[in-house]
Amino acid sequence: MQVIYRQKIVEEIEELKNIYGDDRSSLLPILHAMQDKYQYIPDRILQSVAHALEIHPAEVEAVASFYSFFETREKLGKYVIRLCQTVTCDMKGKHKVARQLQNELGIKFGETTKDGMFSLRYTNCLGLCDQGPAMLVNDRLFAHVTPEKTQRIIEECHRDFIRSEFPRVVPSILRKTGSLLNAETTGAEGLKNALGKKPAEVIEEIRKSNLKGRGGAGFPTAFKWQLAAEDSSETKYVVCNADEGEPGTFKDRFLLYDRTDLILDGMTIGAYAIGASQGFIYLRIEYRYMQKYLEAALEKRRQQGLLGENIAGRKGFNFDIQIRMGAGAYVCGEETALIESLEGERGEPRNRPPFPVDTGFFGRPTIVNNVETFLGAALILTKGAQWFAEHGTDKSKGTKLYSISGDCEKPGIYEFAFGTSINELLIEVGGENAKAVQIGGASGLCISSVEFDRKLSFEDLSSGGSVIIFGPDRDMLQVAKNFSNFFIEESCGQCTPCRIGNIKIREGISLLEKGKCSSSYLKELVKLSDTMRLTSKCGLGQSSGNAFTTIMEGFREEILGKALNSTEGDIS
Amino acid sequence: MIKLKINGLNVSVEKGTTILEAAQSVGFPIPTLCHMEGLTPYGACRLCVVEIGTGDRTKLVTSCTYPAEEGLVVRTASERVLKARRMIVELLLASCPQSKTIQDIASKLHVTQQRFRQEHEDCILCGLCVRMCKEQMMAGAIGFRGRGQNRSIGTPFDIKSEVCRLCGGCIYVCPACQLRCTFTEPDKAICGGCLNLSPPCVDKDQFHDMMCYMDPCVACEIKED
Ligand SMILES: Cc1cc2nc3c(=O)[nH]c(=O)nc-3n(C[C@H](O)[C@H](O)[C@H](O)COP(=O)(O)O)c2cc1C
Ligand code: SF4
Ligand code: FES
Repeated sequence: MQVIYRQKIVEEIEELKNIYGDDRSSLLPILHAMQDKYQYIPDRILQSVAHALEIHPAEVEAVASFYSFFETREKLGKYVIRLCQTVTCDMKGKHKVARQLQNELGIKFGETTKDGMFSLRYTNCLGLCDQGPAMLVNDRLFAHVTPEKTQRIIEECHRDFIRSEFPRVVPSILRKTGSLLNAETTGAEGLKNALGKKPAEVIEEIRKSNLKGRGGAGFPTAFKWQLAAEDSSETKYVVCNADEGEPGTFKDRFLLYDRTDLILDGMTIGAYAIGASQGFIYLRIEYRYMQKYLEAALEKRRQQGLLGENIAGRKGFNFDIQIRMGAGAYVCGEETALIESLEGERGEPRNRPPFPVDTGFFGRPTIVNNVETFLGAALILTKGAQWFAEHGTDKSKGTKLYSISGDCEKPGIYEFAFGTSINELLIEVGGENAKAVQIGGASGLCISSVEFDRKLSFEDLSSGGSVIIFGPDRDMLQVAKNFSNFFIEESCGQCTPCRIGNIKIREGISLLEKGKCSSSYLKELVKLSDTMRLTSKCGLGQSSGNAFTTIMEGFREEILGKALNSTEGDIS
Repeated sequence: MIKLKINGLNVSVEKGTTILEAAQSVGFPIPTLCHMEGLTPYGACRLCVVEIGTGDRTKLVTSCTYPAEEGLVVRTASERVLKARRMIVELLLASCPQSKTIQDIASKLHVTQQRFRQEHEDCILCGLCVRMCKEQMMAGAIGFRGRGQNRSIGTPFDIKSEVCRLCGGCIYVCPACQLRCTFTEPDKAICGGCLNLSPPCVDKDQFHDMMCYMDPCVACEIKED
C-alpha cells in the first residue's frame, strides 16, 4: 500500500509548477505528471493541485473526470492495457483478443488485478487500423494482436520487458505516394522561401494554391491565416491539431513521424504569415510514444536556428513550439474544444462566434490547422502554388492522404488526387467486392455499392482521410452500433441533441437488433438525427447521426425485420 | 447601432446584444432553458434556436449566444425552427418528464406526444446551478463531472463542499429539481445543502440586509408560523 503524504505532494506540485508555469494551462501537464507518478489522481492530489493553482477543487475534478486517460477513482495497474474497440479492430478480431485478455488476467475490462500489475481498458481508435487489432500497453503500441500473442505480451510485462527502450513507433504501411509524399526538399527550403517574402505574399501564395483544410472541414487555409494576420493583437498563436481521433484515421501519425521537419516548417511559415511567436502541437495521448521523438526534433531545430529567436537569420522573427498532450477525448480534435483543453479546461466546444482566428487561446487570435495542412503549406512554399494545384478537381486542388483500413487486401496510407472515385480507390486497395465504404470515419458517410462512382473531393465526399471498407459479409447494423457507442462515449455532453439524441439512436439500434423496431419509429429516428445535425453546438453532434442515417438508407432491407443473432455484438 | 431584421421587422440594437435580447426587446418570444440574465450564456439546451440567413444559405443558431450582426436576417419561428425545438423538448421530456418547466415549454410548443422512451433523470445538465454558484454567489462549490452520458453535476469528491454557502441559489434556478429539494432522495441532492438548509435569513441579526430572491420562500413560510 502506497501512502500518499500531503506534504510530499505539495512539494512535487510546486516543482511541476516551476516546469509548466503556474497559470491555468499547466493543469493538464501537472495532472499527467501526477498520474504517472501515483498511477492515479486521488481526491487528495486533486485538492492539492487546486490549492496550488488557486482554482476551485470543483474545477480540477471537472477537468480530471472529463478525460478518459485520467483515473481518479482507483489506482491503475503498473501496466495499463488498452485495447482498441474501434470498428476496424473489431472486424479484425478484437473480441477474441478481449476474451483472452480477460481469461489471462482474470479480470474484466475496467478492472485492475489484485496484485496491482494490470489494468484492462477499452479505448477508441489508436491509429493503427491498418494493422489491427491494436493494443496499447502503457506507452507501447502493439499491432496484429492475437489471443496467442496476448499471453506473450503479459509475460513480457511480468519480466518488465515492456519498460525497456524498444523501437517504440510502429510505422504505418505506406502504399501509394503522390506529389506530396514524393516531393524532395532540402532543409527548410519552404521556410526560407517564405522568409524571403512579405507575410501577405506568403498568404497570397497559399491562396493561389487553393489549399483547403485537411482536418475534415475544408476551410480555405489562406482565408483563415489572413483573418488572423489582420488582427492587430500583439500575441497570436499557431496550433497544430495532432489529435487525430477520428476512427480509421492514421495519416497524421505517419506524417508526424515521417515528415516531421516539413510539418514544423509549415507551422513556422504559418507563424510568420500571421505574426505569431508561440506555437503548440496538441498531440493526442494515444501517440505519447512520439512525444520524445518530436521533442528531439524541436530541439534540433532550435540548434539549427529554425526555432527560437531571429529564425533563419531573419531579424525580429521569433517563434517556438511546445508540445501539449491531450488526455483521451475525441472531441478535443474540434478546434475550440482543443483550445479549451490547451487552456487547462474541460475539452468542451465553445459557442461560435467568436472564432479562434480572433478569440482563440486565452482570447488571442489563433490558427488551428491539421498536420497535413501544414505539410501542404510547407510544400507550396517550396514548390509553388502552381505545382500544388496541378492535381485535383476545380474546387479541390491537390492531393490528399487517405488512411485506408477494413476489408481489403492492402490497407495503409494512400495519396490520391482529389476526384478519385470510390471504385478506383477500391481497385487500388484490393477491396473490389466491398459492400460499403465509410468515408470520414464515425462522423462520415456510409456509401453503399450503388454509389461507388462518387468522388473523393470537398464538393462530393469530403473527409479528414479515413476510409473504412466493409466486405460482403459484414453486419451493417453492428457497424452502426459501434459508431453509436463511440459517440455516446465521446460526446462532451453539453448540449441536448447530441447527449440525449445519441442515446436514443442507440436504443433504436437495440430495437432493430431484436427485430422490434417499426419503420415509423425508424423514420422518427432519422428525423432526430436531422435535428441533431441542425442544432448541435459542434461538429461532433452535427455529424453523429450521419453514419446511422446513411446505413439505414443504404441497408434498409438487410436491417429491417432482422432477428437477434447469437453472437454478442460481433461485427465479424 | 446594429441593424438587423427579425421576422421581417427592422430592429436596431447596441453592439454586443444577442439575437435573443434583440428579439425579446421587440416582443418575439423565444423559449429558453439554460439561459438566465446575469449568467454567462452557455448555449447548451439548444431550445432557443432561430434561423438566420437567406435563400439556401440559412442555418440554425442559438439566439442566446449569437450576437446581432449588421444586416442579419432572423426568423424566430419558421417551420424548421419549430420542428427542431419540438424535437429538442421531446428529448428533454424523455429525460425529465416530471419537470414543470419543461412541461410548460412543451405545451407552448404544442407538443402533445412524446416519441422517446422516458428515463426519469433528475437533471438535464443545463448548468444554471453551476454558473449561479460560481458567477453570482462567487462560491464555485459545484461543477460538472464526467462527459457524455456520464456527465453529472455535484460537489467535488461528492462530499459536502467547504465553500457552499447554503444560499440555495442552485435550487432556485433549477428547472428540473422540484423533486430534488423535497428530501425524497437525499443521496441524489446536488450539494447536500438542501438537507440541512437553514436559510441564513432566519437568523435576522446577522443577515439583516440580505436580499431575498426566493418567492415563495421556505424560510419565510417557516417564520410565519
Ligand atoms: C469532433 C471533431 C473532431 C475533430 N478532430 C480533428 C482531428 O483529430 N484533427 C484535425 O485536424 N481536425 C479535427 N477536427 C476539425 C477541426 O475542428 C478543425 O476544423 C481543423 O483542425 C482545422 O484545420 P484545417 O483547416 O487545417 O483542416 C475535428 C472536428 C470535430 C467537430
Ligand atoms: S455537439 Fe456534442 S460534443 Fe459538441 S458541444 Fe454538443 S454535446 Fe458536446
Ligand atoms: S437558452 Fe440558448 S441554448 Fe439554452
